Amino acid sequence: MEAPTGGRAMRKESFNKTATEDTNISARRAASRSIAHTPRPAWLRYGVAIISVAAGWALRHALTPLIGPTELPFTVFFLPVVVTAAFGGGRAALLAIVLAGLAARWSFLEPLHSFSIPPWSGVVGLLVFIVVSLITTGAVEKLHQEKELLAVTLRSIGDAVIVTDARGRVTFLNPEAERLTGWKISEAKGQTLPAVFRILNELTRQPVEDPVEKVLRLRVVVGLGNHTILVAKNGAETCIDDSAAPIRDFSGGLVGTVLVFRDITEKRAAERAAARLASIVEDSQDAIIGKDLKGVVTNWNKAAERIFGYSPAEMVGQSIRILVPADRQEEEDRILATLARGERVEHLETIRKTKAGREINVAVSSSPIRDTEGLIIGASKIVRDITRRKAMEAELARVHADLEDHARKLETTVAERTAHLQETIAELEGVSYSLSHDMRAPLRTVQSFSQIVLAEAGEKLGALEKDLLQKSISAASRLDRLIRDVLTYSRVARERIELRTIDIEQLMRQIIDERPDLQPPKAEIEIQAPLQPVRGHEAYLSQCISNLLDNAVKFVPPDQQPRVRIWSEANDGQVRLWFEDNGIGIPKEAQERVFGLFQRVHPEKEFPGTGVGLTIVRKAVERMGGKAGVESEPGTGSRFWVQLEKGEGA
Amino acid sequence: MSLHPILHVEDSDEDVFLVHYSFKRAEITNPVHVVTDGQMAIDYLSGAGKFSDRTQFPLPGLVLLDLKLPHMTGMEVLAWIRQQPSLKRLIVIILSSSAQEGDIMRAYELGVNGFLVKPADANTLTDMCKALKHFWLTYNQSALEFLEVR
Repeated sequence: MEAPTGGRAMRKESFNKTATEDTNISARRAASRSIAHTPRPAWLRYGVAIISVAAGWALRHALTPLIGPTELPFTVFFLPVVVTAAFGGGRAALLAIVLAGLAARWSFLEPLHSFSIPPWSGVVGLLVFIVVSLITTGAVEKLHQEKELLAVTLRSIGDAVIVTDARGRVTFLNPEAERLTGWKISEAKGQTLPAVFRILNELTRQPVEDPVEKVLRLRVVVGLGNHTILVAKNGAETCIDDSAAPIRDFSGGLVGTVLVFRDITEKRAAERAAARLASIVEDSQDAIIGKDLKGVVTNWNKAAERIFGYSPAEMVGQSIRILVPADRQEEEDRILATLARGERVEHLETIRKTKAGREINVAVSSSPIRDTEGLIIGASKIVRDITRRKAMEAELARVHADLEDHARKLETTVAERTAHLQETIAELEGVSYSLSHDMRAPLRTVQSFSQIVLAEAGEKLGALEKDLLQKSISAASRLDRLIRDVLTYSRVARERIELRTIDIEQLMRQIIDERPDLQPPKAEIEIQAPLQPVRGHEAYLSQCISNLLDNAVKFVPPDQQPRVRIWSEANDGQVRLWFEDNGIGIPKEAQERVFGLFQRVHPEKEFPGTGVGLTIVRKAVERMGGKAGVESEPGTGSRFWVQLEKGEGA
Repeated sequence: MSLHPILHVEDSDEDVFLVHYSFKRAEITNPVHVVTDGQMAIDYLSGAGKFSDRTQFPLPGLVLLDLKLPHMTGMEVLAWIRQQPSLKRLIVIILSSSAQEGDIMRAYELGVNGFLVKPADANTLTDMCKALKHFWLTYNQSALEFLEVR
């Protein structure tokens, strides 16, 4: 394969050419070079003149017996002159004329074998011979030249040519026709045209009517339709366009047809690419606009029409500035200046005006267009209508603002509720305040007055009256204790407390020391030292410990001395404090209930109490971040526990 | 033993009766003046209105002050007393129905001399009055004598 060298200069970068296309071009160029006319060497041309004249001389001699030695001395020599003229050209023919004249004078004019001037008739014959020979030579050479020109032309034109005779049989293929059909001229000669020139419709792939047959039938020039494919001998396909014309002789008789066609594969590919590109541009959702450096619109696609309302006819040739609002004209100056510098304008969000005068939000990107020399000749502009996006952004901003507003309202609501809650707590405090003051006062009166009556008039009263007064006193006293317990509970549930490390062992000993009822002989309390310090609140803890110890020594059969054992367990950052008693125990099903408010498991008569003590314990422990529970077996005693976070230094 | 009168500020008749009964049992013989609300207490102490006659209504040696009173709370009366230059050294004992933490804290902040909680039991009240008599009326030195000299 010969590399394409010389010829027209190609700007490789300006053509997006495939390797196949390159190969096609170089193959065609190689073919046209191989058929270029090469003149025959001079020795051959002049040799032909000498030999043909010699042959003519010999032939005239051979005729002497028939026509005599000096009759028709020149006639035979026309033959070598014509042959030489046809084969060797004008100059060789001149040599032949001279040689033939000399040979005829010497051999066939009186006086024979002499170059002296012959008689009058001989001179006339010689002159006639020379003149006729020169005319003939000129005519032959012209004919030859025309034929050569035709052959060279046919060989060298880019178009393929096939010639047929009047019956439609191939008589000639030029090299391009040979390349495209895959037939050599030697193979193709005499074949019918459809055998050599197989054509299909590109879209339907159906055979197309033989154009030569049509020409022969209609005797007019016919052309092939678009989308014609030529199938070569080896099956290769080429897109072609063509025409076929009748060849007529001078009298107008049909002597054959000439078929001219051309490889338009590249052209079709380029057309297709251009069409694809055009369709991409045309169908783009974005307006794609071409303009020159003065801002005059050169291209205007459908989207541009849709977005701006102007048709291509209205816009092409107009200045792009009619789309630019009056107060933004100077922005277009900047864009054009940027493009003229060869720089791009990337995603400029701005405002443009439609035909209807409506202002729309657009995003504009623009880049310079260069010609093959690299000169900037205009710009392509992509305009996107972002009115909807802008509207959505605005909507988003509004929603965001709403959300913030909502959040603010929520905060206000929370603040209001908090305030309300605090109010409720304050009211609750008010309630407990009046509970402690106002509800206890009448109780005090009942209890104290009953006591005074009992003290002042005891002797005057009967046993029944004394008993009733005594019952009034203890009922009032019980109710007073209940009120005090409930107040404690509500305080524990409500108060804000701070936790710190408490030495539980010391606290425990202090409580026991202050309470004779927790000391022998009333009770036996054993602390298994050391007790782990916990994180808690001293007042709450001492409330819990008092309540648990009260219970531990209270719920014991009357004939038994209460015995309590206290120890602590540390585990995983927690301390569990155990209070084990030898009391009556709690049935399994009641073990959780004992922590409920006003819950009592044993009859008031046997074990007086308010049913609030353990509730306070659990609530206080929970407020300190811990848990409280019980393990118990009726008859063998209970083990209450309180679990709190381990204190520092533990 | 000091025989200065005691000013008892108490709105409840029952409690007035109980306290006086207990005083009797505790053998407290000091004259007792009763006022039934905070404003009256201030009027008495400042000698205003019907209390202007100091021979009939002399300055007390001890004020027994209930907290929950009409018009003006005991706490306000206490605060007022401590703001008066001539009264700020007066012995004031609060006798309240309950031992609310806030009340106790506030009372001591305002400079109360003692905080007693009314017991439900009459005998306990008598014991309390006996203790009052021994401590405040017998052994304690009040500042009143010096004020009167001046």
